[in-house]
Amino acid sequence: MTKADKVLIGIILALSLLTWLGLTYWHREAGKLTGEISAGDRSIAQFNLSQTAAPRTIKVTGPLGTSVVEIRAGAVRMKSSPCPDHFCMHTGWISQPGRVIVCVPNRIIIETNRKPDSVDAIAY
Amino acid sequence: MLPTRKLTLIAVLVAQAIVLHLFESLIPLPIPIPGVKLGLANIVTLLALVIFDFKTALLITVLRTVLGGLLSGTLFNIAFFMSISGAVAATTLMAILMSLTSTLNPSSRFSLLGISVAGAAAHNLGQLAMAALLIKHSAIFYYLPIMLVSSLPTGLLTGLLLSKLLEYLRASGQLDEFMS
Repeated sequence: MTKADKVLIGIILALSLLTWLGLTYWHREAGKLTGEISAGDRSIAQFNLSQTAAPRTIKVTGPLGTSVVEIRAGAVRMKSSPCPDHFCMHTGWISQPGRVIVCVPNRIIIETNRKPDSVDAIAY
Repeated sequence: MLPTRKLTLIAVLVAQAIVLHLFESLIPLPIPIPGVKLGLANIVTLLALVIFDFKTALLITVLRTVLGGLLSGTLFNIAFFMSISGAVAATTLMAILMSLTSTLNPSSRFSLLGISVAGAAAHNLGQLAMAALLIKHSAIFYYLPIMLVSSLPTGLLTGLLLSKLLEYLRASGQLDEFMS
């Protein structure tokens, strides 16, 4: 491994650490944890995760069929999904601000503490 | 090199890349992130860049992605589009770095390991960009940190495997034969 290789690896490590810290701290707000479900560029549901509420599920329809999102106090997960690989389900519960569950095949996105003024759509 | 020999070598490389591409999909990875994989087929892309040039390497990569998609039944679905955009991004960046590094003085050059890592990172970024376009949502870029980190072990592994392969090809005189 040459010096240039090590510099390159260092840059990639630094970039990933910076983006990870940036995403986590940018979305952190004291005592606030909210969730938002989107189907593609449409927002489907917003909910508060910091309150102790009874567990519930929300059904969201995407191009492949219906995905079920489960919400409990302080956490949210993809309970079931019609996609082939189930990456979204294997992500498990997310309970930190600035986290996301994405189901690419069924175009469903679950985010915690989404910033309302953040860029949420791709400009064509 | 005679066109027929070049054609035959391209066909062999495409076949090898397809096998690696399909073999890799059989290996389960413990990370539930869409698109994180070893990138074994990238070995062939980088080998093609060493033997031939950018155009030929791109041809081999695109053929591998399309034929691999056809054989695994994922042709023209989301996984296919993510795969092809990642593969084209990786081939392009690796070709740029390879021609760039040959102009630098020997002490500050990239080795194949570094180029392979850069290719893995470009592959992951290309995939994420395509996924963001397909789902029309930028939230996929939350995966950026983990995709960048995962490109380090996978890129180093494929780079190491290619270095071993090149050592063998050099020692047996086959590399000179390919490049003549």
